[in-house]
Amino acid sequence: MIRKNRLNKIYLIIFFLLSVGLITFFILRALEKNIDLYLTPSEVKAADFNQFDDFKLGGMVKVGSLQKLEGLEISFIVTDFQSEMTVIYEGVLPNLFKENSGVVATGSLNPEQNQFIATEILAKHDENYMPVKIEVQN
Amino acid sequence: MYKYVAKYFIPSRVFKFCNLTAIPTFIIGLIAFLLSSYFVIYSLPADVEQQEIYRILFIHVPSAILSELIYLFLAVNGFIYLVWRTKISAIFLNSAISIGLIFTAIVLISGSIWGKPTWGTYWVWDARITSTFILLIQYIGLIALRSSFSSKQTTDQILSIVSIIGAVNIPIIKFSVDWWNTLHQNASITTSGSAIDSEMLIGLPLMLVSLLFLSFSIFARNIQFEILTRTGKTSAMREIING
Repeated sequence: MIRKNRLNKIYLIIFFLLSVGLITFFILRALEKNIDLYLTPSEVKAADFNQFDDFKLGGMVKVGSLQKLEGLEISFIVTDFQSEMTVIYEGVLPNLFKENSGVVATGSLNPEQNQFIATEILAKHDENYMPVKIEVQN
Repeated sequence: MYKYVAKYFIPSRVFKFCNLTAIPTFIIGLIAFLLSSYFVIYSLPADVEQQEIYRILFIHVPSAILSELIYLFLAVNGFIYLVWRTKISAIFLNSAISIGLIFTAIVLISGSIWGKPTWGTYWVWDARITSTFILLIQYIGLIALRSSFSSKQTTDQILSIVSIIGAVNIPIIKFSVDWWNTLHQNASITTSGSAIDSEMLIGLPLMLVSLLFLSFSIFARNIQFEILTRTGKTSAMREIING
């Protein structure tokens, strides 16, 4: 049996913890827009923000959209399977950057051509791990 | 319940138990750690996407699990201390902080090393990484609080309260990848199964168990130290120390 005064203490701590949790919840809700690391193409199209500001765009690289332009410049389409956005980037790419794989690009919109000019590309890989099957050929 | 549990957690008994187990668990843990490290580095196949670098997973994920579990352990002990005023839970709380700090540091460092070749960056302020960084600050804060008060009792109470408040961060770390857009990928192992191929998955529990053994041995030594600084002058403890 738990004594009465101890039971009161337990209630007090639980109440305390719940209120701290609730405070954190509201703070996080208020900061929701700032916590997301990147915006998806649909969010960018729905959002009404200053188009010259830098932001991060994330999604999947659309299959068959990766094109080499001159030099190190590439262009590809980022999709969240609802809307799409063309990205132009010049620079070094991370190893895991490829088609049909996640990507997070930092940069800003080019309003005239509806393109996203990226200054940094990060690869976002998925949670699957598969062993390499080495095919032995005799 | 109290009399069945509490009689095993008298400081002198715990001291004896720790004295007995600290060195064996360290040896077992070290051997298990070396063997499973060898196993995950040389015997497991490489990953299709990430090639060899994915092997950092086997130190990154167990450390992440432990850093969060140890924090929950602190909070539970803090709760028990505040309600039942059991000295031993304050001792457990004090002894576990440094181990949690070590594992949180390992998570962040190994994650950084892993991030550069795969994501293309050492550090990015996404929800998972930032909340883990906050956990590191929480551990550092607890260590700073430990030596901030002259009375042990005040220290224990403050540590308990702070560790209970800080436990709010643990679900945030766990669910950050589901709630927000993060660069960090989602959980591989969920209730619906594992996205890590079963051939590779075996390395994870091996590393986890060996790290558990290693951390227990440090924990046991910390407990002994903690008990000695608190009750070293009592006659019961003197008898144990002098044999």
